[in-house]
Amino acid sequence: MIELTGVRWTYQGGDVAVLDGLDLRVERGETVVLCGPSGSGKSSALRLMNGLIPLFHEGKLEGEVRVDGAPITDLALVGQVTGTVLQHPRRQFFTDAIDTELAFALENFGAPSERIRRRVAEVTAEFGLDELTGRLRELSGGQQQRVACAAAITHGPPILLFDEPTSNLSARAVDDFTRVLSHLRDLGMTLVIAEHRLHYLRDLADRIVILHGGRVTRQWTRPEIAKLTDETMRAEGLRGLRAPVRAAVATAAARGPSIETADAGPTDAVAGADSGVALRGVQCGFRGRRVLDIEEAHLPAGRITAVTGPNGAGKSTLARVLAGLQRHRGNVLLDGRARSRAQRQRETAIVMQDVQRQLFTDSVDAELRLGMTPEQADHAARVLADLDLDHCGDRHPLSLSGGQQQRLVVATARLSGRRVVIFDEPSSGVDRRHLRSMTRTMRDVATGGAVVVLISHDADLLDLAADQELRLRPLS
Amino acid sequence: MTVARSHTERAVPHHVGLPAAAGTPGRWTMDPRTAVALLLAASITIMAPGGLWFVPAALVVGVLLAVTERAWRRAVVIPVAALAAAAANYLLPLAAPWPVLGIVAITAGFVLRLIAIGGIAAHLARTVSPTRLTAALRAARVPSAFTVSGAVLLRFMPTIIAETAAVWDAMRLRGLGGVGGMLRHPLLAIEYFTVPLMASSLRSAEDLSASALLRGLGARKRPTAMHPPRFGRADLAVVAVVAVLIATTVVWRGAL
Amino acid sequence: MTIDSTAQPRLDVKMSPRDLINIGIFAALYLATVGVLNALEFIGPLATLVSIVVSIIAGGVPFMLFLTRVKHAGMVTVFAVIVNAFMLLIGSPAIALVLGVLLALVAEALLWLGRYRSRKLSVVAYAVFSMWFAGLFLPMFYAREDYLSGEYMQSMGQEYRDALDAFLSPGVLAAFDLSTFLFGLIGGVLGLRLLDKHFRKAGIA
Repeated sequence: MIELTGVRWTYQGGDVAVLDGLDLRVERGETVVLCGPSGSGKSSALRLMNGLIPLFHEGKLEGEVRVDGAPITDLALVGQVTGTVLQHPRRQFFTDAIDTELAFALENFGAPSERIRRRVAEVTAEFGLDELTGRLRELSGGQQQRVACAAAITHGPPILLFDEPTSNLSARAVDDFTRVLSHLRDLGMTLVIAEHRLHYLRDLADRIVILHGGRVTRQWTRPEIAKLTDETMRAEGLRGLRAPVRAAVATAAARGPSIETADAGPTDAVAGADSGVALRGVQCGFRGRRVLDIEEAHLPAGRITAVTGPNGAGKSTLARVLAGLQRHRGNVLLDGRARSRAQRQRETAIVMQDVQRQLFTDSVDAELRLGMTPEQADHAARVLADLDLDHCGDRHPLSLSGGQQQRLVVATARLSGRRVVIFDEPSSGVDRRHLRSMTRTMRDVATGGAVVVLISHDADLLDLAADQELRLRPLS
Repeated sequence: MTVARSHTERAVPHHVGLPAAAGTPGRWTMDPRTAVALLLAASITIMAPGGLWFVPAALVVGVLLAVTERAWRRAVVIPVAALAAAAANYLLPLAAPWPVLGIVAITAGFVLRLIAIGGIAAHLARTVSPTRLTAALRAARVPSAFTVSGAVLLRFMPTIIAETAAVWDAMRLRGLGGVGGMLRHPLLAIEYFTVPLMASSLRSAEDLSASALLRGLGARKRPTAMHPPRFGRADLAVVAVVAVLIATTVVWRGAL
Repeated sequence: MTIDSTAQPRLDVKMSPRDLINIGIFAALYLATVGVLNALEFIGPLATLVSIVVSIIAGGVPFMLFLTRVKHAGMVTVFAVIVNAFMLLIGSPAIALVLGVLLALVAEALLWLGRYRSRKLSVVAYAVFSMWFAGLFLPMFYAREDYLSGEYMQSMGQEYRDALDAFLSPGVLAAFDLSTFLFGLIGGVLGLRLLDKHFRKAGIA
């Protein structure tokens, strides 16, 4: 079905070949998982299969690529035999409703209206999409992923390609997604999945292919997969094979309608509120609808508080309240004193999910000096060394890797002595090694006396990092 | 889930990204082609010499459209804003014979015309989804160069506006959002704003374009439509109402 | 088999879907950057003019980036058509669309003369393109009789009428046009500067 022979690929402007001597064959109806550490070339391998390399991404390709028996010459043609699902379904949706999204490919390929309507109805029923209401962007991450899968197969391609499909999904959504995958597998489709998390694929995969430095270094077949141990996985730098069982984490002291009270934590008299952040009667609305309502909560200094909960529970809103970016009722206290929003803006840093949004200058050094006092800037070298960035002072921040960009933002936060540092989904698409270094960074910030807030769906990361959990729930 | 308002696209202001509810229109909605034609006609006549005469008619259309979509607030705002602009246009020069007031009055006269057109534009923006608009433009045989790029523009607009808000948040947290600093170094402020905006928007655009290309966007000159746009009773009703309003305007003008 | 997909400028008119998608993306970036929506809110004539100046300069950044990402004859024309059509949809006068497309054809010709590679010509092309902003106010000038007539005008005295007449005179329009052109040049230069300072190093341009 898919044949890659002796492929070598270098992105335009890149010095090293991302794929180098890649040979891979995928048979019809097979489910193949590509994994390997960040930068091993698994996403690039996937992009070869749908032609994005070399037809969308520019660079130099050697070797042979055949999909469904033919070399790839045109994206729309290969698009008819492959369906692709990416990390962020929201980003790849082209329309704002489920039915139009499903119809999109069929319309572009010129199917007759009658057939489009029939096929859309069929797939809607098959994927249980009729129970979903509202616009696409209002659905939860898991529901969006389900729609993305449905939209990828509506035009009937025999091959489905997934690029880290679960990196933004909660544990429950991953279960849901696993059922979708197994359904597609039963339909006899060829599935290729590039993924960090392997636990949910254990019973689905016919083959696990490990990539390192742009070539296949190892393959496990079904019987071998069954015998894999966590030690083997760790040796390969891969995430665990078992679904992370969340160790019982302490519940943050909090109460109010927005707080999930499943395990009754300390409900009255939030104690120790003279250090760290305390919320008192915080309420927030958006377009006349209440989105956050916390009577009382305490986020202690020196610890990592994980904020969790489904989409729409107000996690982002809470982060924006803490940072002083969001109007709200009630008070936010820092070390026992109420702080205005303007004050909090100066005391808080957010490490955003898309860190490019917060890199403003043309070198790492300049980025660290931006908005700092001379005394603060004196410590720049030390902070850079702490964060493993000391060799890239002259580089352009946007040319750094994602992990380095995150650490650069952390460096600016530390240098300016921010008391509250919020990490927003820092681990999407990150392997085990990076997960650990990220946890270490957060831990360092906390040890420095800051209040660290971690917003994440990633069970692996929560397991490693969270000291306590503040679980939110949607209002009404 | 992203902190800084993110591309959940929740924070998109009302009047911008042409969002709309369901993907599939009901029987009583106007065909987007009619809506666009109506807007074009209003824009051309009202901005032409002598166009002031048609302002009341356009205002009536705007209010009626707001009523049909149950946008009560807009149904009130359009006439009130128009009255205010008209008052500024006609009454301000009477207050004192200063040329400055005259200039404000002239501007108000222009704003009055914009409000009349804006009422119709707002209806279009709130009821016609980008998908339907694109399908309608295709049906009207607009060349695919414009429908493909235009569809992408409409799709990407809300994402970028959310991105703009996020960059603005990031600037505030770094202390770059102060008005004083911006006035002192305007070019630097533009740099701090545009560089992250371009970097992050283009990254999220990459997924969108890859997925759209793979799903055949632009592959054929004439794509098909799940629900081909069709003129219906609503369009007939609109044409009838507009005809009556034009006739009334002409008669009224002749009578004066 | 070796494929080198590094892009070269193309001077034929037929655009690939990829080009069209890029044009749409940059048109959205341009519109969001110039924030025309704010400009149209008419807080007052002065505020509008100031925000237009900022818009024209800032718009140079996405525009210059656009010229590096798509290199294809007709790109600026398609760009101008959809930008101005969007403006039309949010209520700007229809004449602005006509003006915008004419200006884009001139800009396109300039770029073509430079084979889509000349930096100087690209700055001038942006400045020419930017003059579409004048289209937003054009009706006030070509329909000036409407604005200057009226019974109260007659009762106001000659001096008053002369002042307003001067305000809506072709000279003012020409001055406005010229200033959009000049600010366009500044925006174009800023865009080029940021290309060198940031986007090339970041691998975006």
